[in-house]
Amino acid sequence: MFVRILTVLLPVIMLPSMFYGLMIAGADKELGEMSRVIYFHIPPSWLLVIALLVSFIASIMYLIKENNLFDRIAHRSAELGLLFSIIATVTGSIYAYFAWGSAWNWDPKETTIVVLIILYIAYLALRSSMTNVKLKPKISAVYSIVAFITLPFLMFVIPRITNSLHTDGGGGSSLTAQMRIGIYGMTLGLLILYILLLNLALRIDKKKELSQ
Amino acid sequence: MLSTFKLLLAKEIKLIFKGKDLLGYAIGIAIVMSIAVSMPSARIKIPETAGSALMWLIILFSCVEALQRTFTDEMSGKTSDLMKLLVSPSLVFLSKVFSSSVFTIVIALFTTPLLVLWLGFPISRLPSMLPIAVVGSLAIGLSQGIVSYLLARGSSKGMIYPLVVMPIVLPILISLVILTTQFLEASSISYTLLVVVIAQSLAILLVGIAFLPLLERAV
Repeated sequence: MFVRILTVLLPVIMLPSMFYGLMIAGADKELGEMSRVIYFHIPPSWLLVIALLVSFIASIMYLIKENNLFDRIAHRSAELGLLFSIIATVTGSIYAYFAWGSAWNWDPKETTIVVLIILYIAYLALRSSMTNVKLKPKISAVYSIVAFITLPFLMFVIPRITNSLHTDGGGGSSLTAQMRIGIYGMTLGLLILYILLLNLALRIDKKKELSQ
Repeated sequence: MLSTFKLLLAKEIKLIFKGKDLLGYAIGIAIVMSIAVSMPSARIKIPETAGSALMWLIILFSCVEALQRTFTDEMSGKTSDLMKLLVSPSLVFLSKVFSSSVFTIVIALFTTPLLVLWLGFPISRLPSMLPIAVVGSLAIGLSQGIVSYLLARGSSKGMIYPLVVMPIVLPILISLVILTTQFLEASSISYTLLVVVIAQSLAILLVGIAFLPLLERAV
């Protein structure tokens, strides 16, 4: 029932938010229409933190309870977090090309998100490299916890103590109230999409497990 | 518990300085020597950033070599299972991490003056660079420990090692390179970066100690 409600809510929230951001909210004075790419950059950036946080909590829960469901949640949420990281990086590069003249500037936030992507690719590689069924989820869980510990330093600390082109790092343009409405709407829509995708992946995993 | 830890640490330090682990360091030094000799002969001045990056790469790879060997040898020799019957896995883990960190500090204390001399940086910068070399080496050693343990425990293929270890150490490494460059250029030093390096390595070490008993439970 809950999934059905979310499936209905997804287009109801996401489409108007997208329409509002692309058509109604005012564009940035300096960048013009290209500034609207932020509706596809900031929400995935926030969602990646949520997805990786879920993976982190599920990993801790797995180590405590040893319930396979937590391992599956940790695994699938990390995959979705990785997906959101890639989307945020690509859309960020498009924004950077128009705002700062180059798609890649080795800005601290650009560098740290690449490290984050490598970190979670490493997590997935580590998972797939192990054959011991009993050890695989445990080792993956500890690695996921260690990986998440580095996230606050990567995403929030290092970019703020070094010179950055990003708004919260001292450069770029700030968001208007109109832009914020569009961004919050898109974030809520993506959050629903994340829950639905996670649910779908978990259902597929369960069916695979039952068929084996 | 402290006396057990001291005994374990002494055993690990003896093993680590037996010579096998010096291979990684020798390779690093060989790379730096060739760069140090070839660059000035081609009349290319090595910038401070490149110099500090080279220094930390040597230290990192020496530490990687030492940590990988210490955990893998124990697991493949099946001595880890015997040790776990006598002492807690956390103590074994800590002794290995600290012995590897001691090894890395010794390498750093040896490498830093050599690099400053070879790459033509002012000798006057050396006294201020040595403490950062010690703190940075300790941070690298502590933060790599848990990942090395996990890889050895899971008997993962050696080729996956750099991919899994590097992203964990990279934020620390980037911060250390920035800090060392600031020391070499004698510009204003960002001590917040030093705090970040220490905080991150300690956080990773504490996570390792906290979750290791859960990992070893009923395995």
